[in-house]
Amino acid sequence: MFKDKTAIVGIGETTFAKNLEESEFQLACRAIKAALDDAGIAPGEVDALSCYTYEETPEFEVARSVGMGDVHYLSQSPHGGGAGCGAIGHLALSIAAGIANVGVVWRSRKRGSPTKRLWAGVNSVVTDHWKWTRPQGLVRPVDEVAVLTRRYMHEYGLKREELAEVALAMRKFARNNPKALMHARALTLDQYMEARMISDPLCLFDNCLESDGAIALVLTRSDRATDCAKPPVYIHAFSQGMTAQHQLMTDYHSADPLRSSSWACAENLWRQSDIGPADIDVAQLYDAFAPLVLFSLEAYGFCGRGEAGAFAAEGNLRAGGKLPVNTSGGSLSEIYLHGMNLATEAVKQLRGDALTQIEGASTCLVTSCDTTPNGALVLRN
Amino acid sequence: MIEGMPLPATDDPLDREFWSKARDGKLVVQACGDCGTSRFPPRPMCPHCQSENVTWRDDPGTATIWSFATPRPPLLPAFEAITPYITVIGALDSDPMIRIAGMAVTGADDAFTGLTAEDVEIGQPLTIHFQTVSPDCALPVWRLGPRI
Repeated sequence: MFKDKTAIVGIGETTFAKNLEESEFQLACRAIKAALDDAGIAPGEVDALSCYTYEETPEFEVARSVGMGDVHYLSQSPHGGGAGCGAIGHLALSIAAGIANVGVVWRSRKRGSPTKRLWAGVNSVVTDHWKWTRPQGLVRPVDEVAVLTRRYMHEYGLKREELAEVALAMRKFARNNPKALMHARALTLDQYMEARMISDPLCLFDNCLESDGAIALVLTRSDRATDCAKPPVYIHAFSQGMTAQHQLMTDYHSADPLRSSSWACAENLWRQSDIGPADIDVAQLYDAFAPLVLFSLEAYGFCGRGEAGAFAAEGNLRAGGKLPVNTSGGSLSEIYLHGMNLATEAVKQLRGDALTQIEGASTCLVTSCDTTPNGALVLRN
Repeated sequence: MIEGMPLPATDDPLDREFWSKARDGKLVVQACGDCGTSRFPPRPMCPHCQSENVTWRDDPGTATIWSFATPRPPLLPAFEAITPYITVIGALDSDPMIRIAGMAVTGADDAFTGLTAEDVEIGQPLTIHFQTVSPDCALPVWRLGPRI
């Protein structure tokens, strides 16, 4: 009913920069038009739209600006970093079920300005679950992830030198990607070890970029996909995930807080998939913070619990390693768009036209944020 | 007390008992009125037996550090002004599944500025204390016990 029934047939990206002049609305339209052009599909054919609950450009504005026709399916996936794969998966479901025919998913975000950072808007009176951590000094997402990373280090002995490999590997890929914000900047282990702490044990380079841009993808039925301009990338399996007793970002209250929502997502993803972790050629793992990559490597079964630091330190995340990860530079070194660049890079890898092309790549795992309700996709060509 | 610091709403029927007792310097933990299971943060229904009956049990407020963070700038101005500080997650001795965040405090005046990662470790004992930060809010903070 779902497996391989839909495909990603178009991807579109705006310029990526620290600060762009255009509004999020303008950038959204531009990315969507580029994705439709990439697919060779006219805007009037689009009848399904999906985005994040954090997206601030409404669907109707996008539809009437880009020139879409009658729309039959509208969806939003919860939160920010956790939402990307869910937003894509919801579109795929609607198309596989026959509700819609051509779907567009997008994320447009201007975050380069310090005033645009989520935590900068913390209200003076906190009414929701954040009341139990923000007044107590866990103000930013990095502080919340630092708590989990500290606990992980305590339980498994992860060293900063091992964690560093995540940022170093992503930066190496970005150095081969002219669009990446960090394209021109080399990063060494010494620089990493001497960098200022943002929330100990997480230093500057463990944090994603603050940047502006937009990305869109076009999906359609697999039997329609073969008529499109570019080779289709099939959506093989999809799941969302949220563990029992999960709390958004400050996930400290379950019996085993280091068993994140990714574990719930992974079990149900692999249950549906003919492709297992050992068959994955390349992965795009959500990396707003470097430790999330390590946590995800374990949750999705690429190594055992507590082994991700050593797995990374052996060079496995790099081109030529067992599992090249975030091959465009990811959120740490290419662009931070709540993970949407991970999806477009997956498509590029499976089309065979990525800048750092992993030879023979035919399967790719894409994941969303480990520390929120999330999602994941198994893609194949 | 700290200019511009975000404060919790303390009048929500869901958790106002916690904040009311906090103003008296006492820790209470929400527990199911039927099966007795403790839960934190407060919520409307027991996840074990689905009862909406709620009780609040007194807790001695002794705990150990489950984990901690040491936020450094850039921060909200209110927090930037008090760095270096540490926020610890304390796991209650009475039920280690109940984990409560609060700033670590030290010395006779319960100061939270001046603490660094070298001053604390996971497993270190803690005792809860409530610091008045506005007329209707006393925030839980953790007094540090000796290093283990």
